[in-house]
Amino acid sequence: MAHLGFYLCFFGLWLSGYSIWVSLLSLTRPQAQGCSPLAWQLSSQRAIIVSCVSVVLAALLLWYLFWQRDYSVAYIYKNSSHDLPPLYTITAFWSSLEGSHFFWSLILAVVGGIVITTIPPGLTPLRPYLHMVISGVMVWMYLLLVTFSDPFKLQLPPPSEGAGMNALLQNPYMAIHPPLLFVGYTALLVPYAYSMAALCFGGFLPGWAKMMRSWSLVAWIFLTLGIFIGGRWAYVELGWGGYWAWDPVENSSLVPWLLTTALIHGCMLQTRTGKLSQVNVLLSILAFFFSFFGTFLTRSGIVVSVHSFAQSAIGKIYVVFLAVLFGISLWIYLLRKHTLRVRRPQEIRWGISRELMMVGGMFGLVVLAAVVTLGTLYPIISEMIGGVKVNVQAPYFNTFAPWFGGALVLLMATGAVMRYHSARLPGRRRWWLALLLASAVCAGVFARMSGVFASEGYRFSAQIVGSTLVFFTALCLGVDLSLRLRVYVQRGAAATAGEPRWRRYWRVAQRFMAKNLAYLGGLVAHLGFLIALLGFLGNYAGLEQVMRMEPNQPVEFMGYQFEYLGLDEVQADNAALLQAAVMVKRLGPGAEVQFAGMVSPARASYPTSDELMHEVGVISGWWRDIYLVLADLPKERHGAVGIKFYYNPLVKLVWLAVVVMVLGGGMAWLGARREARP
Amino acid sequence: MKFVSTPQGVLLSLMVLAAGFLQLPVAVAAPTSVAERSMVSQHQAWLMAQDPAALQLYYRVAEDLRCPTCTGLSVLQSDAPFSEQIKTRLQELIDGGDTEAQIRAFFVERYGLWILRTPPKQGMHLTLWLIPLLFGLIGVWGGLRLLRQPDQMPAAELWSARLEDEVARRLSKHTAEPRGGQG
Repeated sequence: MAHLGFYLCFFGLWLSGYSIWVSLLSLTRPQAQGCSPLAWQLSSQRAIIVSCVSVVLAALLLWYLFWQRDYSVAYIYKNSSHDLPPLYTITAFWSSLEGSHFFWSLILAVVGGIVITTIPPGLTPLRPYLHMVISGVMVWMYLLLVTFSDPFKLQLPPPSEGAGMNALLQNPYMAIHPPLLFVGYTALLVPYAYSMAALCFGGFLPGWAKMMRSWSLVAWIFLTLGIFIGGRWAYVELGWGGYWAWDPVENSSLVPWLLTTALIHGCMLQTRTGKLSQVNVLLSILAFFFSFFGTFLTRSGIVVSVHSFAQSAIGKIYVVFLAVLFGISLWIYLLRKHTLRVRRPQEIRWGISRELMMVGGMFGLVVLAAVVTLGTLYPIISEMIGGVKVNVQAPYFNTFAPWFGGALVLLMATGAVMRYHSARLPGRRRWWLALLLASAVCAGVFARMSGVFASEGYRFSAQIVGSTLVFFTALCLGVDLSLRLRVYVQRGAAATAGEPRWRRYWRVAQRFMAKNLAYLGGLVAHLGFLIALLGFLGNYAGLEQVMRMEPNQPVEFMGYQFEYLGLDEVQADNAALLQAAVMVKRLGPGAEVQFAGMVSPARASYPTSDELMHEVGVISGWWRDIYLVLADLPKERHGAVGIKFYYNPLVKLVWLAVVVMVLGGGMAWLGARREARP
Repeated sequence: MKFVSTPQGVLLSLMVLAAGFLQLPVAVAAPTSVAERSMVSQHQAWLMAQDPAALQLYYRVAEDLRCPTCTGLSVLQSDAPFSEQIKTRLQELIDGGDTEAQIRAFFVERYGLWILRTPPKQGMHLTLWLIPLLFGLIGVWGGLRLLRQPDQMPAAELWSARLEDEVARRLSKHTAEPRGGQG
């Protein structure tokens, strides 16, 4: 059976190569073999679709073999065992190197298939180039599948029991985090392919920017979800109290996100003003390159990371691929970028306007991406040049990130109230002062109510300034919305005179939703980002404390009372859990105590690993999480346990933010698609 | 424009925000005051005995030393045996009356630069710290330069009409590729 999978991948490789050759033929020798170029392109398209089908079949086959626990396949032996629950049997597919590469190839093939079947009529001249780019990337993926990372490699004779799946990955968040990120990364293939096609074709066609924008939005939505769910996984599984550690692999998923965010704004600008066309092409190349670069970091193990569970000797060949990818893309870009210029340089003028603010924001995002990349790679650079081993960890990034965040928010605020091609600000100056004052008041009230503010000088001022900026930006976004709504209200008033008032407002809202879905999506996504920033600001005030807890002797922490009741041994699927049962009561303003729930911080032991994994207990409120980690197990049966308490302010806002951001992204995507329809 | 410039407009925007952020705490939990918080960890006894200056020194240095056996964490965030050793050592040094510079030098001498979570701001490593600053300066410089430009913008022109001309011109070059194609 396993042989069949290998041959299916090989067939995919062969078809991808064929598709490139035929596409080239359709361009260079239009009348070859007496066939028209269209016939050659059709053949190429069918080759891509069939290769997509064959890799899907191969993936289904691997899943089937996992389900059967066929340990004669080395990959299945290494990553599963008989006691693995059904959900993790499915996710074991991508739990280490070969499988995750295979899974990525699978999604890439499917995305490629979708792209070449949904080329809008106006963009068909790009078809052969799109085929070549997609097949070119697929050739590389298939090549690895049949050589360095073959998931169907045999191990004979088959062992009777598997080695088991990595215990860290046996968590529901980890079941969806990698696929979401992979979809995000693969969706970046589409802007890249369209950019390369435009370069090769030598110009933009109508609908190109909208295609770029809607696929960048798809990538953005999935990257956002993937990154935040990865953070959520770190929060509940790693047990150190935080969700983002500026780990090299976290960083390398953040960089494509930053570049994609910049790309989305660039595409909007290009649609509206015709500016930045070359920048967008370059951004899409970079975003795609960095999505592969992230994989390279994970796979090669050249940087130490919590994600190092997927290492292998694949690193060296990956360097070659990255160099080739980057070299060819850059070469074509430099050679052909002049063809993308529609206006003469002197016609492109920048004054103070909405587009200038957007460009400023894009600059901030790209520069932040550069800083993150620099920090991530610096340990390697330092060791190569100076021979000194150094670390670049969270303190470095935390020094710079708040400044970038502040600048981005400020540009977001000013950009929201400005208009394209116009330097004028709406309203009078004193209303802007009032707005600023209002946001300061909001921040003050927020500080007073939430009780999440740090007592230390620097951290406190960072929080106050940060939250004032966030509220000011939110108000500016509100101003923008009301400016746009006003037009509709005025128009609606004339058209629906005489109807009841609620009905008039309903009509206006309907019309507005129908015409401005993309704008509303952007608004919601920006609000989500602001909510996330508020959540991040809470990090300035976190604290922690370890306490020995004797059974039935309550301790107090941050307005809650905790009583340790005893240690339970629980068997959950293949994991043996040692759970500390802790009863939580909330201390009221008087002396009254109110039952708030039970939490059970636990340590889990999996049959395949000696290490005890964390299962944290969290009491989650809007203003703070109290986060319990079982730090020390008792020496004797009814002894005391050591529990580490973390006070984590505003973490819930971060999880709320991802919902809002993804909702906004989805609305913007629907809106962009609606606009794209002729 | 006029709507926001009226008190009602400002009030409305304020209320929308206030609804989100002010009503929640009433329903969820009573806020804790700053005084209730005390920073204690497993080295409780030691920490309780310190004056604020020594405590701050402890947190500042412990935050900057990496946990040797974990990824991405400081010794402060970690309970690994190796981190505990370092923390104990740090407490001894503070008790011995060493200055911050002396303490850092001690750890660097013992474990190498590798023990620091960020490289020092000197020599070759200075570039790591200066490059982000440089980017920031470029941003500010570019912004200022554009601000000084005359701020009248060209009137919004018929961009899309021009684009179509351009496309038509380029398409005519690609005669081998008929428009439309197969779907």
